[in-house]
Amino acid sequence: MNKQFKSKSQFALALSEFKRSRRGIVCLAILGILYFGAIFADFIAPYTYDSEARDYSYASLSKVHFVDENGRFSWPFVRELSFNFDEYHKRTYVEKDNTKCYFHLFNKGDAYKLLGLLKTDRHLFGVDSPGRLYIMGADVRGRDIFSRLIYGARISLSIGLIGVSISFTLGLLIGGVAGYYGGKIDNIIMRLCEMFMMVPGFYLMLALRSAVPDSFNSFQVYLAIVVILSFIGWASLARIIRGMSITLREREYVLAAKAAGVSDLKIIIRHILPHTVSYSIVAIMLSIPGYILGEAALSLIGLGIQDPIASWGNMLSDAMAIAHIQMHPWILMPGFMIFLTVICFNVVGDTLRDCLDPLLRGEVDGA
Amino acid sequence: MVPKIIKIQNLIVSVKQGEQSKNIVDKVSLSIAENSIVGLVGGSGSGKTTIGLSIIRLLAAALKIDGGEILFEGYNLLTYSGSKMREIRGKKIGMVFQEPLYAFNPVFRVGEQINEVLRFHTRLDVNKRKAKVLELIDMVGLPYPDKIYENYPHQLSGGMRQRAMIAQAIATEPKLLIADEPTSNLDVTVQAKIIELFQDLNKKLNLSILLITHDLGVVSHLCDSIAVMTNGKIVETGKTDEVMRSPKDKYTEALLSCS
Repeated sequence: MNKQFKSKSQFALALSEFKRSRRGIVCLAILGILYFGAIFADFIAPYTYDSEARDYSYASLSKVHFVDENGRFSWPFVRELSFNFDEYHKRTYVEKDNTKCYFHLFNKGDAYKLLGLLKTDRHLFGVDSPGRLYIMGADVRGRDIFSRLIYGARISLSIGLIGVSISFTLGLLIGGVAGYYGGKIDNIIMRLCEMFMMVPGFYLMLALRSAVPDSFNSFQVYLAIVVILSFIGWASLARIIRGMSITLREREYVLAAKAAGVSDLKIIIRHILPHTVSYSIVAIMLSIPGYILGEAALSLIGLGIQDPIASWGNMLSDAMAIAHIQMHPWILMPGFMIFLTVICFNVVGDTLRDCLDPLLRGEVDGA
Repeated sequence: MVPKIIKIQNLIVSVKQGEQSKNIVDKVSLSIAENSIVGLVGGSGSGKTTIGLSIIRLLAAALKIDGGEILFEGYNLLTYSGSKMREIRGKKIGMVFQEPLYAFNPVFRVGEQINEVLRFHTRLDVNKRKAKVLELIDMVGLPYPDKIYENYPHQLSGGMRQRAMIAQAIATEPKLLIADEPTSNLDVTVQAKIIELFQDLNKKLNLSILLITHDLGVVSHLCDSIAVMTNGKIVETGKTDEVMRSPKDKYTEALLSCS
C-alpha cells in the first residue's frame, strides 16, 4: 500500500523524449564542444589570434612527419618552410631539410591568462619554434586559421546568446505588457513593433551600425553589434507573446492573483510569461542562428568586428575573391563552422519543439 | 446595532451596448455585519458575482461602476487608487472562486502559490512563511500539509483544491471573505464539509463571509442573513430563518419552491 508513484515534471518528460532523438543529441554535443572550445580558446589554440608569421602567408596544412630522413619512426615533427614564387606570383612552399620542430602536448607558447585568472603559457598542443603548425592552413598574414577559428567562436557564438537574451527579455516583457493591458497601450506597442518589422532587417542593421561612432574600440563595437542585433529581433517575438498573453490574461488564476492583490507586473512575470515558455525555448533556439549570421554578415562586409580580432564573419571576408578560394580553399573553414553551428541550433530547436509539444508527442488525442 | 464590516449603498454597475447602457446591478444596497455570514442568492445572470467583483474592483473591462458607494471599514473603496486597492485585495478582503482548478496557476506548486500571497502582503521571512503556509493547509483540514505543499494543482481533487483556495484566501487573515459559488462544482458530501469549514473559520478567525450562491440549501445551513437577487435588484433581505419560513417576495417564493 505504501507504493509511491513519482510523477515526472514537464521538464523531465521533455528531457527523456529529447534523449531518444539521436539527431538532437548529436547536434547538442557538437554545440557543447564548440562552446567548450570557445571558453578555453587560449588553451586549445596553439597560437593566439594575432600571432603572425609573414613568411608563412597562405601556407597550406602542415605536413606532419612520423618518419625521419633515415627511414626510422620518430616522434612526430614538422619542418620549417621556405618559399619561391611560381609564374603567377603565387608562393610555393618547400620544406627545409634538416629542420625538425617536434610536436608536443602541453607545449610552451604565447603567454595568456586562462579564464582571465590563471597566468600560463601552456597550450594543449604545438610544435617547437621556429616551426609553425597549421592544422587548417594559414591566412594571408600567416596566422593559424584553426586558432583564429577557436578565438572567433568566442565572438560568433557569444553574440547569439547575448543577443537572444536581450531581445527575448525585451520581447517577452513588451509583448506581455501589450497583451495584458490591451486597448491603447496594446495598440501603440503593436504599431511600434510593426514599424520595426517593416524595415528589412539587413538594412536596419546597416543603418543602426552607421550610427556607431568610428572611435569605438573593438569591445565597444562588439557591444554595439549585440545591441543592434537584439534591437531587430524583439518585435516579431513581442507580437506572438502578445497574442498568447491576450488568451492567458482571461484565465481564472490571473483573476485569482489579482484578487490576492498581486501587482500587474508580477502577474505578467509569474502567471503569464511562464505559460509561454515552451514556445519561447524553441523560438530562442531557432533565432540564435539569425544573430550568428547577422554578425557574420556585418563582419563580412567590414562593418563588424575588425581585424586583428577574429570572428567567423571577418575571417570569411578573406574568401570573397574566387581566386583566393581556388588557391587556398582552407580559408572557407569559418563558413563551414557557421554552417555547422546554424544547422545544429536548428536541429536542436526542432527536436525541442517536438519534445515540448504534448500533441506531437502523441500523448494527447486530438493532434 | 452590530457594526458593519462592509456597506454597499445604491451600487450601479452598467454595461455598454453600443449607444445604450444597461444596468446589470441596479441601485443595490447590502451590508454585512461584523463576524457574520451573509448569503447572496439569485439565479444565473442576476448580478450577484458582479457585486462580489465590484467590492474588490476587479470587474471586466466592459463593466463600469456608475454610482453608489462601497464602504469598507468606513472608507469608500470606489475612491481608492490602484495601488491602494491592491493593499486591500488579498490582505483585508479575500476571495474564493467557483472553479478552484482554474484559480490556481497550473505551473506552480500549490504551496508556492499560497506562499506568494504572504510574500506580497507580509514581512515574514522564508522559513516563517513556509511554516505559516503549512499551518494554513492544516487549518483548512487538508491531510499531510507538507505533501500538499509540494503538489501541483492538478494532483489534488476538487474538494482539496477548494480547501487550498480557501487557505490562500485566508492566508493574510482578511476581515472579509467573498466566496463566489464555492460549493457549486463539488458533490454533496464535500459541500457539507466545506460548509463546516466556513463555519469554523467564521468562529475561529472572526471572519465575515459574503457567500454568493444559487444554492438555498447551502445558505440555509450556513448564513445568518440572506439577500435575494434577481435582474440586478435585491428583492428581499432578512434573517435566514424568516426568509426561509415566510418569504415576502414572489421570486423568493419561486426560488424556495424549487429547492
